[in-house]
Amino acid sequence: MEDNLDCPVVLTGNEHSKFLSKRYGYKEWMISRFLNFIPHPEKMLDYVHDSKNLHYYIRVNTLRTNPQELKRRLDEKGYLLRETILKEVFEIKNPGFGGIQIKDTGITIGRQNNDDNNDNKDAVTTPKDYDLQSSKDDDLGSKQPSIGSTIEYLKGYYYIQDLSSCIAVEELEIHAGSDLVVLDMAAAPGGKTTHIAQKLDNKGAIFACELNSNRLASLLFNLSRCFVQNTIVLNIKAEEINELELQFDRVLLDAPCTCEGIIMKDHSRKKSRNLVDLETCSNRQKKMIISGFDVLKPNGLLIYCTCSFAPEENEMIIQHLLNNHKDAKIEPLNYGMDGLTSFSKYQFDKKMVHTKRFYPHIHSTNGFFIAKIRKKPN
Amino acid sequence: MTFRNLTNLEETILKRAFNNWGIFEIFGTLRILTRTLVLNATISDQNTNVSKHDAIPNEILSHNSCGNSSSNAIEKYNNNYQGRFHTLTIGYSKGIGPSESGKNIKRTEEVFVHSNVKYENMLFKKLNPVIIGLKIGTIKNKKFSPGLNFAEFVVKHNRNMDYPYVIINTKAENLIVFGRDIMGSSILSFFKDIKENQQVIILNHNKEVIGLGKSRYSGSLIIQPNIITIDTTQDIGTYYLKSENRLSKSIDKNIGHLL
Repeated sequence: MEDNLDCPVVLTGNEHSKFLSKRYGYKEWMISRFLNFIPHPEKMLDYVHDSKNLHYYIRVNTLRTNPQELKRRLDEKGYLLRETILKEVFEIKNPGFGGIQIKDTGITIGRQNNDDNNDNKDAVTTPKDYDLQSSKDDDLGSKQPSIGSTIEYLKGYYYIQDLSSCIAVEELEIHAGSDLVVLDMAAAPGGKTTHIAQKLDNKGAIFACELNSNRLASLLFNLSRCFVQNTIVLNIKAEEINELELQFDRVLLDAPCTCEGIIMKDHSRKKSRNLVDLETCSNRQKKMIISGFDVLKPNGLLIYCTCSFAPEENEMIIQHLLNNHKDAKIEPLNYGMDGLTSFSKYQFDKKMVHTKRFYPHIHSTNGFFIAKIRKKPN
Repeated sequence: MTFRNLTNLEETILKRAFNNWGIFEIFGTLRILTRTLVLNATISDQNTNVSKHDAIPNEILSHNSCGNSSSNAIEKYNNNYQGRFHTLTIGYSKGIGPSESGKNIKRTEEVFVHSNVKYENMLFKKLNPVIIGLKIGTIKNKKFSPGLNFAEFVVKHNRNMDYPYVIINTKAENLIVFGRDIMGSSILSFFKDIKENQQVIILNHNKEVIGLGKSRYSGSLIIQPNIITIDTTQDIGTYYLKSENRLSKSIDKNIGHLL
């Protein structure tokens, strides 16, 4: 595929897209795109529209406690925890008064510090599982204190984080206590950084980059709360990481994006983004992924993820990397639906099918995209 | 200021502190770094209420070379606090080395624990990191002031609990995370040799660190009912909220109590 991609791809709307945009309050250009590449788009719009479909997850911080002990303690406090496909992640059926946070409706303590594009997602399925929303009928604990205001939260025993975010870290192939050097290219507020730290059992080293000083506070807060000792926080542009002449065994690029995938938690995003934003994000993501791949050691792994549906922020970015680095190889992932192999007039590398997409109405998560790239050995 | 290894004096101070808290044996297992917490001005402006212990947050100062937003934060700080300090300027603070001393300047050293020993000071100088590892306390006036993370180490490694502590009930636990002091009647048990005006670790009934405090009384007087017997100095609630809000407010007057 040629590298000079038209970005963003503008798709013509029709009467149906006009109708849906009015009905659900989106900009029409978004709907006309959704109709082209999202499976069962109307079902998704309907699903996202209903706040009852929100799911909440916590990840147990194994640096401080273990899943069984935390489950016991939260059970005692009246929270209902359900297991998920990851042993350290629980779904919370009754996250407490006011939920955790929906941006239009205010902030609670816990979520204030987890205000991340990719946090608070839901259950993820295996490719064949189409609905893991068990016991959606439970109307539980509306007066329960928020899950973000418990002593256990303040002690750093868990992190409020979506399951799809946890899967991205899971796919980094970090074995317990291994002495790896990991780069987190967009670290704040620290959900994935603290997850990597617990995977490493506070060994090895994590270089956590965050350019936005305003977001540094939440990153530092979460690192301290979770008792992370192996992190070096850098206030730099991740695109310029190669200037530091460091090499990494693993790179996590949770790229800044248009966040289409978290509209369910932030309804303002139905209208707050435009095509210029999409183009800006896409251009930056291309620079970031090239920089991240440059500093990867041979045989090292790079995980690229976004909480966006847009192919311009997902498959096109991976294609851009493949076009520019012949030593980049897409590896298969364990969860989610296959990535797109074509979009509009573009055909992507056939291995793009190994990248994975997550949809709220299918996987009960935020919209999410994950790609796993290995650098071929010299 | 950049991160650096301990000086001999700092090492002695820390070894003494680790010994006093009963965790001397882990001192050698940790990589400990320090960083100067900019400056504390001993001369305060009488027209303002700025205390002599106020300081510019390091996260603002140490990153003025990276990113516009950091520079803006410094500018904002300077605008807000212009003229309050006689000695406190960014350029000046950058010029102060670890061995320098002055009559009107007192430095606070932040102490960090990092679990990786592979990286050298040279790399840290080059990277100019915001934070390395976990902050465990500060050194000031040749004294180590432990933070909550240090208390975590104490509780984890000093199994005999021969350190000053109080264990409080659940009701008090929920109040303390909002900064309240401790009434004698809330104390379930305590270290028997507790002294007046001594720093104590506040634990909940699960023996988890909830905060740090100072005792107003010694021995069993600590459980006198209906009066405050422990002043809470740090707690896991306000501690995190202050951390969270620190940069957005540009300055936190209680930075010495953080982390």
